[in-house]
Amino acid sequence: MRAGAQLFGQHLPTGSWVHRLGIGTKYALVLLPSLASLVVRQWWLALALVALGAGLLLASRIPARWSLRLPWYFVVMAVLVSLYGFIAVSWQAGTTTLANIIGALLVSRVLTMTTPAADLVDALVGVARPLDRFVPQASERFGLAVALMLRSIPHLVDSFGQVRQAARARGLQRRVAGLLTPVVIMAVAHAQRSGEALTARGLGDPDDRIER
Amino acid sequence: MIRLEGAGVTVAGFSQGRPVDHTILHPITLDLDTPRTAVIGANGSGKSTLLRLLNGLTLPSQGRVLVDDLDTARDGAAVRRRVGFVFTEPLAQLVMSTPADDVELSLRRRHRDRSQRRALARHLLTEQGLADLADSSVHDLSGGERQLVALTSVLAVEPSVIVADEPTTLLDLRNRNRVQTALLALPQQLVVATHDLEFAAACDRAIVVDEGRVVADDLPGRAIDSYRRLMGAT
Amino acid sequence: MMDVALVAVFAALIAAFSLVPGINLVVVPITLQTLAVGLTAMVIGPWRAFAATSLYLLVGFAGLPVFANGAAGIGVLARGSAGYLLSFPLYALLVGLLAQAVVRRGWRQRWLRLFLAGLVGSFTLVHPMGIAGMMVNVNLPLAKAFTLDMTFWVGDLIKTAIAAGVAVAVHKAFPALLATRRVPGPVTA
Repeated sequence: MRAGAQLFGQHLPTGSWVHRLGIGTKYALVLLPSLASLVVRQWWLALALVALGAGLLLASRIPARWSLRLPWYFVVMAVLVSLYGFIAVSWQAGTTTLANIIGALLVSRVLTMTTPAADLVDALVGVARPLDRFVPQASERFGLAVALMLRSIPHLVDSFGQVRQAARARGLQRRVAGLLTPVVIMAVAHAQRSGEALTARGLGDPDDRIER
Repeated sequence: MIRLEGAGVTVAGFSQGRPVDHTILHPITLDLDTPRTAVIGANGSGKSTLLRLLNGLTLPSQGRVLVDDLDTARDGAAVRRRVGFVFTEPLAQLVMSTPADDVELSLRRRHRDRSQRRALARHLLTEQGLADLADSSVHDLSGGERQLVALTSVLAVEPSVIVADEPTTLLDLRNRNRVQTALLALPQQLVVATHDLEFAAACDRAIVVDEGRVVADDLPGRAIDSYRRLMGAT
Repeated sequence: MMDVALVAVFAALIAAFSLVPGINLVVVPITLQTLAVGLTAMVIGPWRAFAATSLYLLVGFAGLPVFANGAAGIGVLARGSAGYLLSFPLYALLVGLLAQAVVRRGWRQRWLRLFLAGLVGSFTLVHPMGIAGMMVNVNLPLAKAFTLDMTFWVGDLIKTAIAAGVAVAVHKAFPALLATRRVPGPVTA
């Protein structure tokens, strides 16, 4: 799958009430219970986290075969990781670990599956806004950095693929450093060109709205 | 109106372990007021540096560059608002993931209202024949389409001059024609560096740069002739 | 804006390397992710690398799928690998400072010194924080967590060696990246 599609293809709009919740509410629903459960580490709270995540995902009316599906490698990891707790500590400890890992994944999905990526970015930039008082243009620069980062991911994944093919064509695919060097050099060059373009577009210049 | 007053560029470098200055551009004095000016010259001749002087991306090491009497070294932000810059590689200048978002970013300064911004971005993209692509990933566009999006984003700032550094060099013939037509149709003043002599011939004035000096500044026909002689391709 | 662009593109590089398929080793997915973090620290200098790794984590915590295996959200903090993730910005800062000193002083044997700088960061920050993460999230006692962490050592040595090699080549291509002062070149932005 293309990295770009992978990155932005998580949002599945159905128009349910979960989708329509304000982004602040959604973040509160995701962050507070997850952090609470991670800190308190009680088996019943961890199970409640799973129930909360699964409940909200079902209410989102996204088909459960997508919203509740757990990738096999994730399941293997979660089980193996909690096995030690079950065997060596107690069933409560094992349950806490297992339910925390699964619950945190499900609750996170409430955010990613019901919110467009652009709104996630906007929310992130909104959180940085109070910093403007201390550093001029802080949230603006932060927002540009987030946007440029997301835009550059598919570009870099592609350039990695191109370099890999070029190396294969020359019969050099064995050396990892030889593969990575051109990718990183391209990344620096891309950053320099992007930085110039940002400057040329006047982005990050002091605000001039008042002047007009 | 852009005026170069003895503007030259040197950079510090090293040669055999000793610091030396390399001259990229010898001092140049000229006025750029013609509606469409082409800048031609071999790779490494200094034509990119000349263009970058015009909106303050490069500052002169001697002399000065004035845009509507604003010094690029002192009033950088005001100069950048008047002089838009289109780069060779379109993907490097697009910040956002979709054309609509990228144009909107340019509009942020002048239009506070988000829905108004959105509508205006769509309108500007439609003017360039890009309405259907407004919400696709910039990664999926052709080189020419990306370049047109970049141009639209630059135009959205409403500059009075567009400077374009080899905007068609990386494009195939069809896209080249498309971008060239769009640039020549602009009401704004245009300064374009190009290797495409047909593009240069379509301008009103051509400047030939060689080894950091302006060696010809004339009507395109005559300037192109002297460029051909210079390159030994008579 | 050059700093903003370098920070953004290297955060993207870490994300891209996290998404490129790697090898899964039970508790912590081994991807090119840590290699990219090492590269970031050695290539763009301490503060930009700190910003780039923090940006990467923030974007991931906010819900965008940039972590290994396309994971996203604050949920990754529940996993065994949480400590390793959280160590990235500190590692980037420390290794960045050391790498900057190596490049600025013009020391010989650059590769060896960068390699050692990377290992110092790994063994004073990444591995201890990784172990702590496994102890908290997975209830492992110190000895078990330590043993599990040791399984990453060989991979870590190899990745640090590769990162140092790549960084040496990149600094040859862009000598101004970590220069003491801005070279008064044509780029002023």
